[in-house]
Amino acid sequence: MYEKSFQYGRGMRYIASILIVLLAVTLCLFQKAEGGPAGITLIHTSNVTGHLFPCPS
Amino acid sequence: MALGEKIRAEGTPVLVVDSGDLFFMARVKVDPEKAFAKARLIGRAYRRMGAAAVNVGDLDLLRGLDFLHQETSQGLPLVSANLLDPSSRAPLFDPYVIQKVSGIKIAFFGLLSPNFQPEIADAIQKTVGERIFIKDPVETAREILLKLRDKVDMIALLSDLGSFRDRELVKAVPGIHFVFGGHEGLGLAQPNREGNTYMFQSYAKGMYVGKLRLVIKNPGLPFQDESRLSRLQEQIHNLDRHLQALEKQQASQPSQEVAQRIQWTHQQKAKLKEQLMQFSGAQSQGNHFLWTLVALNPSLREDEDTKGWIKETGIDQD
Repeated sequence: MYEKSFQYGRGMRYIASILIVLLAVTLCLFQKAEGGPAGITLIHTSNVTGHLFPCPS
Repeated sequence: MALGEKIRAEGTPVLVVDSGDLFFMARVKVDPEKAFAKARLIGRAYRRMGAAAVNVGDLDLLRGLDFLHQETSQGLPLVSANLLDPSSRAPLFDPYVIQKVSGIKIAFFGLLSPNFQPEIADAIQKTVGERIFIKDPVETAREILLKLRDKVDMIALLSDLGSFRDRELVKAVPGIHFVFGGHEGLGLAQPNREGNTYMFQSYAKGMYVGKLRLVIKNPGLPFQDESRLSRLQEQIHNLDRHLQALEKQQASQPSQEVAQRIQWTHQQKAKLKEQLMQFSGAQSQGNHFLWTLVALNPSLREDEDTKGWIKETGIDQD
């Protein structure tokens, strides 16, 4: 009885670890397909009008 | 330059753009040699920064087209969609440039006003009058948008039209994501909005630069202004403080008027909370941006090479 439940427990652990690996792989693939948001920074200048040295702000 | 490097070092791609009137000041009685020397230095510095697009403003025409064409041939990406050759009606500069960053294609096109300021109109007429034709900005913008709409993810206008005309144009031609404006030298701490288009201004004479941080989840969706979230939170906080004061007053000296004011303030707070929830939801799903004006104060490290170039010319003040 003990041996049976021990084997059953081992089997469950084996299945669980396969499921975890599969879940991790799926998540990785999903994230890659989905892609994170793109980050871009724009720097804008205007009316510099030939000024080499910034005016005191 | 240092600011761009600092942001790039954080791992975010940076695009530097200018909305025009970069090279020359309106005062015509300036030593032409010094004016060109400074303009060449500025062109060199913008090339070094890897400027993505620089619009041609009316003041840039003050000393003729040859200088501007030289800058273009040296790699400065000058753009103008409505500055045309009078006989062929072909653009004198690239009407737009397309930059691909982080997988997003952004088009920058440039416009200037056909109505010059009275104090420079004669000077421009003398230097380039016969060599240019300025097409109607609204008509030009419509044509450009038709051309670009299916080619890119986002469209930005670099404008030397002035804030009033920017707004009129955006009303007449929807579909532009952002307008980086100039001409009057104004600054906007909060962007103006018309439909789904946001308009920015970054002052003048290198006092400030505008920094627009974009987070793009789906370029097809409208953008949300991140600063609106903090403004709503602040407004709710202020109403809370006001409510506390009113309730204290009501507890000591009950009156019908104060009771009504408490009720009204609760209603206002509920409205703002609803807006906050809607906004937070939209922001988590869509695109958002944060606009800040950054003062170019002496604490920012200067680029040594650029300092050296300025020193070589012997110019030590504007």
